[in-house]
Amino acid sequence: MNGAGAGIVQRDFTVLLEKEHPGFGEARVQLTHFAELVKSPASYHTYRITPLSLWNAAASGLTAKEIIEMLRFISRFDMPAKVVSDIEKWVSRYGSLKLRRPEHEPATLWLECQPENVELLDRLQSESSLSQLHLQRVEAHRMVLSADFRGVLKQELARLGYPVTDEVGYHNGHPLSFNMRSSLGNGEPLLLRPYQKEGVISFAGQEKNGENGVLVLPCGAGKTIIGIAVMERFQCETLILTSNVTSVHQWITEILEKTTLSGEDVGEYSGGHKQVRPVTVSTYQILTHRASKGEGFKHMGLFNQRDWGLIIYDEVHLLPAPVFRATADIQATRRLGLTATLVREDGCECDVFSLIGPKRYEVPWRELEKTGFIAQVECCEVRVSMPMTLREHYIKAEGRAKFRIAAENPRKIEWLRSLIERHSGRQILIIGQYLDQLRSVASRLNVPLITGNMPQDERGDLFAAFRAGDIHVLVVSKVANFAVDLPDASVAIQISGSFGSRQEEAQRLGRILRPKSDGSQAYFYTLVSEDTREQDFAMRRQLFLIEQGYEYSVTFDLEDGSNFPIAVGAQEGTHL
Amino acid sequence: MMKLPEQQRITAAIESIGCLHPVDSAALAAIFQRYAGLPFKLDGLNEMTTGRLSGADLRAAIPLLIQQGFLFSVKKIWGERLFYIPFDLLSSLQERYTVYPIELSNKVDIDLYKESKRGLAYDLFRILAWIEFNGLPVTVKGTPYQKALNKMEGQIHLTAEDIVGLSLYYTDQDVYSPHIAVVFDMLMKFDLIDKEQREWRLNTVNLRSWLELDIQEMNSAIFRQLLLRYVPSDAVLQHFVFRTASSDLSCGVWYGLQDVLTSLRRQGILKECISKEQDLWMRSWLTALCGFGWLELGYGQEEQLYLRWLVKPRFTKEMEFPKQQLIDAEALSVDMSEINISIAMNRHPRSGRCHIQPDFEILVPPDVSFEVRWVLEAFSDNITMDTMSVYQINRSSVTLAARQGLSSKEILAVLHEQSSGVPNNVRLAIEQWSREIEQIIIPEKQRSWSKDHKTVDTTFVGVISGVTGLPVEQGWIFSGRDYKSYERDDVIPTTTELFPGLEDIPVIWFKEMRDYHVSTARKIIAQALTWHTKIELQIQGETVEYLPLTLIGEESWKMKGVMFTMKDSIGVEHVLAPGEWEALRLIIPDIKRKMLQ
Repeated sequence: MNGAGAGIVQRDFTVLLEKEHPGFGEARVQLTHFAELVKSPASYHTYRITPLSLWNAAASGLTAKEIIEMLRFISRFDMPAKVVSDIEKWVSRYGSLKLRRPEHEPATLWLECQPENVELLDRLQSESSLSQLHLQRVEAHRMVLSADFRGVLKQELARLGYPVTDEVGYHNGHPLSFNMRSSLGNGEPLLLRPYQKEGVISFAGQEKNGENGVLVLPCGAGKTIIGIAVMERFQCETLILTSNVTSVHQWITEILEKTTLSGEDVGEYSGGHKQVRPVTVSTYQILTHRASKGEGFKHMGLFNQRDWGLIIYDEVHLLPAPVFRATADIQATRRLGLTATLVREDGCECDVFSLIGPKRYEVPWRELEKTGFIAQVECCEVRVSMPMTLREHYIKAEGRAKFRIAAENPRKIEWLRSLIERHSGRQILIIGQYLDQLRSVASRLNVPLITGNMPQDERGDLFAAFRAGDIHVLVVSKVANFAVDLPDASVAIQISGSFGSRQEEAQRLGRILRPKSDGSQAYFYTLVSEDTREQDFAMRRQLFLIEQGYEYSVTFDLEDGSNFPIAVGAQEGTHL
Repeated sequence: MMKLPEQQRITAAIESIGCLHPVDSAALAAIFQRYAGLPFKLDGLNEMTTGRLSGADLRAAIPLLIQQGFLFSVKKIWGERLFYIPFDLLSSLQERYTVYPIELSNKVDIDLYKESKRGLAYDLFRILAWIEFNGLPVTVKGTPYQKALNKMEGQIHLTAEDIVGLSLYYTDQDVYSPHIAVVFDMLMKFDLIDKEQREWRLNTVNLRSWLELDIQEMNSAIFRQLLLRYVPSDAVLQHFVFRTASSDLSCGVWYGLQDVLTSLRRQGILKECISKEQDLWMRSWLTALCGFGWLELGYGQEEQLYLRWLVKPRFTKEMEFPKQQLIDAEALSVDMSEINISIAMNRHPRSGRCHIQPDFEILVPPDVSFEVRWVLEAFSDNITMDTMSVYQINRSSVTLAARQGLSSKEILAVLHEQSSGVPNNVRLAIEQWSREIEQIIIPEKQRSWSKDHKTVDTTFVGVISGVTGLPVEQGWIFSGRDYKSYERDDVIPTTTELFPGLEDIPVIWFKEMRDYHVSTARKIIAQALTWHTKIELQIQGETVEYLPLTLIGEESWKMKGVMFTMKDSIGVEHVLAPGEWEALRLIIPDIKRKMLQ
């Protein structure tokens, strides 16, 4: 009955994997094939088996029997029978419906099931949500529909629990001939890391016959280069969508730096520029921009302005609903999703599966940290005491004001000085939420500040100076939360944040995850006013990273707050 | 180890089955087969004549079977007496008389139809925890408020669907849905709830004892209650529930329902067909066992129902007591309940440890005791109750704990003691929350089961440990007959009670084989018919046994009956007239001789 497996399979389809168990490593490898890693804190990691994770597994060629055998191997106790039977049921559904195109009828599609499973189509015929797609039963095992509904049908069927294998195929788009460079401008060889190669192959296939899907890699793991390598595989015009303009610029910079494409080939489609070139990089924001609520999304036409053979969705977990809808209409185009997490705040993971594609590859954060492909980070929460007068003010305040008073605690500046001294010589980012506070900090420390109000060019210049090491300390607002590539930033100090946003915490950590050229570790500090609501929110913010296996140490002020010499005198590498 | 006297009696009976005289053994087997654990009257035995075993043989076995602990009896105030096989013997007898094993199913293509749920023991735990935190005020009718009942339903995995087929009878059916009724029935039966006028409260003394049990012991206690009170007064159904749970059915193996029934049929318990009602009830019973967390059901390709035990509760839980402690207790008149506590505490010397994760979740492996879980309930929220149960500590749970007088120091002490380590951030957060909370909150009440409670209710020990188990013991839910007006009476029946009028007949009738006048012979045979006993006949110099079935005619009479030669156990029906035998004797089974044995 009770074996010695590394994990426990629960009735709610979660698998708890004991980290200290000798079989942990092997079990984790097996689980990543068919379960999503939910969290990986200290002693037990939590995985979840979902219909989606099983379809992703089935898409990679795993059978229900193989999955169940793996689970039995992992499981310390008898597996709940419902888990076994549901795995069989969900996996069997993958491939039970196929979407094909009849010869010589490009405007029509066939939805087919196995001849021995025709009751499946009976069931679908009675589904009211499919009625608007005008499916016509022409044979017991076949229904006919308009090719226009390819995406919507797949989306709806996935919601109903029936994934469709799309065998209609993709058009190649307009060809675009280019290569990746063999070395960078500084003479260093340009080589894909092993996991990056695996990611490319898992999407594009060995024979360049890949379809669509999502690659899941941590911040700093080099998702952009994987995207570029995929583009090179398919040699076609490509549309890249990302989360902000800074990221657009980074994509363009990297494409120009790492491929033989010229500036003429690569365009920026944003608020500032409307270039539609063989490779075009744009933002979700501009695609979903409209002058008023009643108007249509006039930039959504970008999807059809060229004959794209590949669309890359960067930060796919942020993909907004209107872009999903547009994506449903372009199912003939290959689609690559890139993200650090498949978990969406809006619960639309199923749409990512049906419209972008199944997960093709995933590398856990801590795994890359171990192999040195992302930096090791020491996380530390510093609890800063509040001056008595401010505390009185804080006690009297209410709601958000209370939080803001705590966030803007002036004593944080002393800690900033202390930490900057402690890490002198390193590239340090000071990140905050409130502009007044950021301005004050920048002015008192005499360091530059980047906010959303700053023109893109100026921002670019400052980031470039920081990257070059001309500036050691940079104060940034939330504009730097996403997709800003600052490879040598190795210390991040949060002085305030937007309440309990776990995503923001992870994104901010992501700024310092790039492996350092000298191989040293990175430091992530959060300054929090002690005994205030800010402390509660910090706790909530830290959850995502704790779930990823990061641990926070906590450091205190001395009671009267007059202790800075202790911290100032501390050397890097010793605990505060 | 020593056992309680009644338990000893039953254990002794089980051990002595093999030493019984063949006739008594056959009588016990026949009674078991016909009645299982149902009560019967002496008269009822007369209809059970099989082969050489006459009604008189069956009756004559009663004193010995009572003396040896195979039978118990109860009687009404005005004297009607019922006999029954005690509950704790039923499983042993089932095992002993099971000569036809159930075929193993080699089929692999069984589709799961009904999965096993979390388990009634865990449902009881959840309800106890819910009552602890929310209280349970009652209406003027003396029942909990509907809103509270609805919330409690949300706490349990058992559903009405799981048990609806058992057609359980209980009062206030308009108030309690069947599944919540089952939960309350158990809580009441185990005396875990004290019904007060305005509120039902947890019985903190018994609660402590209950939580000291491990899951197997809880399951055993619950299963026993189900067998005692949820099975209708139908011997076939009783046999069915014991057969499905007997030891030759292994956990994790599928068995066909039809194969179980075939085994009972070959054992002679089932007739060819069972009624629709019986069939429905059997299926409902199996469904209920799924709901209680022990069984799974599946269908094979041929639409046959299959069952598979995941967890098989023991029929009885022998609460054993270290010999020395029992003697000391007797000698010093120490309260037994005190000893029970120390025994209970020592029964789980090493329970498992929790794992506290830095994301504030407490993982509780299956080997963590219910006592520890109960303490966790005091300051953390239950997220999942499964193989690995999950609790979460947060500000509001620590606030609730503070209201109950639990300080951060105490919380951390528990966590340190019961876990593999407390992450620093968790420790700091608890301390921080408590600092804030303790400034503004005054403890409202003392949590149930503080360390001061030490006395165990002996009734509780009885109910849990299985030393009683009479059919007269009823609860709120009861599916059998009503035996409320009966009381226990294990006085051994006298020969005269078993053979009324014995003192009025000439002793020579059963002492000596001889020839009688036709009219006397008719009287002797009429007496044999009254007592359902055999006679000895001498026919052509050979002695045979003869069980008269009827007398035919008056003046010129004959008798019809079954004749047994020395070697023949089945017998052949013969009609005999006076003159066809040379001598006869009435056979009275020798009760006294057997009793001396």
